[in-house]
Amino acid sequence: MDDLEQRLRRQLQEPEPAVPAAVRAAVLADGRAAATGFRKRRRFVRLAGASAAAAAAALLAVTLWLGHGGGPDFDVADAWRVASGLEHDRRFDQNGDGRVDRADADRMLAAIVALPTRRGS
Amino acid sequence: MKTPGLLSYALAALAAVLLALLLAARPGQDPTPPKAPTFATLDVLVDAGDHQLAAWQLDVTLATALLVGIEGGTDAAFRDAPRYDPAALQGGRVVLAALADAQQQLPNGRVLVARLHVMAPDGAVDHTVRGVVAASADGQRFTADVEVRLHENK
Amino acid sequence: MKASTIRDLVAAAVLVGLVVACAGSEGSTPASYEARGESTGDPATNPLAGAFFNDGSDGDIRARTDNYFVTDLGAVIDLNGFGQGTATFDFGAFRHEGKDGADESVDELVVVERADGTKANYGPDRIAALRAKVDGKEFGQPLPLQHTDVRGKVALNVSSVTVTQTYTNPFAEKIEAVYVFPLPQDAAVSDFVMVIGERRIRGVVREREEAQRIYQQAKAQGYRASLMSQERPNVFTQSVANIEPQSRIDVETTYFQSLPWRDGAFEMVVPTVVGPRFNPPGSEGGIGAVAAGKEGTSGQSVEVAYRTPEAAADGPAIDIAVELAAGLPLGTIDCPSHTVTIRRTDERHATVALQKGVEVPNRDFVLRFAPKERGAGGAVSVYRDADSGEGWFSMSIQPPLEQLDQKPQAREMVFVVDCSGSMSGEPLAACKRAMRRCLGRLGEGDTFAVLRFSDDASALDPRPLPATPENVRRGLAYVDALDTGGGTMMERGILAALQPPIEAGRRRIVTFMTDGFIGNERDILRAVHEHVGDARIFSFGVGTSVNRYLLERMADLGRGVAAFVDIGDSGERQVDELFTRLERPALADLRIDWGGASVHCVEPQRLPDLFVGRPLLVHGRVHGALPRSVTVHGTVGATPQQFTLPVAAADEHPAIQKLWARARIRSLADAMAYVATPDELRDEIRELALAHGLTSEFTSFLAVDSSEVTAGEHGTTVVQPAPTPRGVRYETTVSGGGR
Repeated sequence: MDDLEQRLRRQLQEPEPAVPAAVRAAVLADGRAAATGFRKRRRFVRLAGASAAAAAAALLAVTLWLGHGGGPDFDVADAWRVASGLEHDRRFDQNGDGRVDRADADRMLAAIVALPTRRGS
Repeated sequence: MKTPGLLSYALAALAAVLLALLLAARPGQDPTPPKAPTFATLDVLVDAGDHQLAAWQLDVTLATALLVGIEGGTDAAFRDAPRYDPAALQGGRVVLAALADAQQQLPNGRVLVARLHVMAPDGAVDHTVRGVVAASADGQRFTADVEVRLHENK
Repeated sequence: MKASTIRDLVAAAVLVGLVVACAGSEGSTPASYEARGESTGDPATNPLAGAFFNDGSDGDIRARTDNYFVTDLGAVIDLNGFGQGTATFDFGAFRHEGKDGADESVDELVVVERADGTKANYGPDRIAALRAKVDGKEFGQPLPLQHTDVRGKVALNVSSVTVTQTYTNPFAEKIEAVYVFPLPQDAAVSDFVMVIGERRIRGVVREREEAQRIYQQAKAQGYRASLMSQERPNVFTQSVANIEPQSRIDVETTYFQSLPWRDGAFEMVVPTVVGPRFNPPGSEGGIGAVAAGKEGTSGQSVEVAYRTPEAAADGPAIDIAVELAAGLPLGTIDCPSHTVTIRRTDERHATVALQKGVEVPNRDFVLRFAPKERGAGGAVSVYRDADSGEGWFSMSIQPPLEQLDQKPQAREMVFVVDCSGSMSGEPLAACKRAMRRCLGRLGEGDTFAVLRFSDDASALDPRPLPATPENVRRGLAYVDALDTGGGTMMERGILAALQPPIEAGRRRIVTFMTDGFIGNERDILRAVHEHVGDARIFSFGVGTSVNRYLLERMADLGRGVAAFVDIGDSGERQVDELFTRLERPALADLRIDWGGASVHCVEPQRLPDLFVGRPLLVHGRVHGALPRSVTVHGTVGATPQQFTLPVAAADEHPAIQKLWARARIRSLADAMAYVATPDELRDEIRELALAHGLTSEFTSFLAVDSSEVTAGEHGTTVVQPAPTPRGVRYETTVSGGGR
């Protein structure tokens, strides 16, 4: 059991008398996202030696930061830093190997290109 | 003998005009059939200068031409087709972005990063470019010139 | 002329081959046969116009009893005088593959040749447009679709799947390939790429008619182009124009899907073939099912051509591989439909691939997997726009119903069995097994009815019977005697089940057992909507390639759930789950209190009943923060109940936006079946699909390579035939396939 799951389980121990076992299990299934949470303007942590886009990170790993870590100014330069491993966020890295795969990068781009229209710029 | 009055001349002229209009409006008589739309490509080149180009994004607004496909560039690092925003496309605006394939060597200088395939119903492919962002291998933004070249198939 | 040459070649050769084959039998010299071709072109411009044939009596045309491969062409024999055309048959040497696999040279071959003297350019590595049927097996038909590759990635309950179809041109002229194929009914198709060599051209979404116009223009002007249009939420047409001889074009389609939690596991289904549909007489907007070579004869706006099961064995194969990353340690992984290799890379990750590598695409691929923590059936995902504060979410809701007691309500159980031709053989046998189980599970206080339908509907008894041992025996005998034949007039079965008045105090539970192979889905859904009343519908899809869209939507409208029984399946598990569901409490008349959060545009708009083991998946939009908890109100029996459920901090995923849009489009499209003003719905669907880059009934994906004009005219259209689904009888379901 890794620290993430331990944290999850601790969260589930919080007083919540109305939570039945089945729901608790369902919450546990949401685990990684629940544990990582979202922090406004979260800074990326540099991960030395991480290599670039090609690995088999899961789809869940693409936790888009547009409303959180990156904000409306997020652009391809930020995306490149994440995709190339110059900066690292655990949310992008489902299997913990320090990489974001091509599909994840594609989804980052899909969100980035949508920003100008939403901003009305 | 009574000469025709002004009203008669006017009525005759009006009849002639109406006849002419009627003939002109007859179906199948139009001598200029509608022009077939033309297809063309717009090559998007980013001049990275001395930087190694790692990522780029930009907006291309098409006046009347319709986007019908988006292709990657010729450099191996940008061969995959860039992403676009479908919502923006409804207004003729092509918002594009791409990250380099980091398995490949990053290019510098003038790089063909994308090819836009368009259909021009009226034969014209007017466009404007804005919102250019380019990033180097270390993730820093830098100023880059963008050129869009039109290729028409005659 | 050229545009129709290949079509004529194919049409003629198919007929030649088929008829020749009738006479050919293993180990014997063909004694008599007829070879003929037909074409509908103008004799002045099409040298193949007019009928040409040889009745075989003079022995000019021979057939062999084995496979045909063209290696050379020999003397030309002019068959002038047959019909009004000037078509010639080319008798050339060809290689004959003997039973032991050895090649031997033989001297007869039928090849259709253009009368202007230019031979079709069949080389040693090319297969002539000659199809022969020998001992029931077809040979030698060239097809554009070479292979389908499916690559899936699953994380928790969201799958991302890329389907790559590889098209080639085995003909001597350019062709357009057309293929009708299935995707999951709730797939949000979000990406479409045409691959030409190393070049990748991403497609764009445009209004359906506009995309069609552009595609036709591109095709006419010689540009390579691809168009993907939705015919039904689970049926699509792929068209690829200007494929040059011996060249290849790949089309990659990517979709997202929320995977449902079904009775203890997440379930991922990859459909591989569209089953042959029945269309009521007089309909034109259905999906026709015709034998390969009989394209254009169904009278329906969409058509699927089918190869015989024997021929399909040699046809294009499918390769499927899925990566699983459930986010938590993985428990069971099961693929009931195919033999697969499961490789667990670590406790959280696994890959699943077909053991054979490739398979004939003749049945759904079904993958079930569960986290080790049993009971985990939900997920909360969100995507939020940074500037507007607007967000999209996907939430799975499952109150702890199993902790409640419920006195079962008096039930009228109505079992409706589809006895149309497509159910003959194994599907009906599977139905009967399931029916016997159902009748055995009836309770003392139940009443029941057994109905069958094909061209008409009939019943065990005009009225529901009390579930006494004697009546159950009668029911079993009735089920045993059921036989198949005729069309699928499903509406008659629906009316027979839903229209009769019901005894006060009883809840009508209707179980439909069908493959759903009909082309008029909207008519059926309209009938269900109009007549369902307070009844509950539990649809049972039976077969290997069920029309899941129809079955799921019928169950949605009937506030029940759908279950699926494979032909090799006993059906016991599914029947037991049905009765368990009925005997446990269901939370009805649902309402969700979002705890003050600004939630709107929730899908489904009409919330279903909640059953144990089937969480409710809700898609919606939220302005501002998601609530920390939601309260679900409903009734169990007549007693109001409410449950407050915590909302976990959500996983964030941009696909959630598309999944919401897809759910919304589905809901609007369903409503088009029964609202008075469908135009408004049509506009909303179109706008949603365009804004989110999704396919829909009114939007299509289009990709054109406008960098290069291919040489020559655009050639003709070659329809890619599909295999008949496993367990489905070709003879009884495919028009021209034996009926």
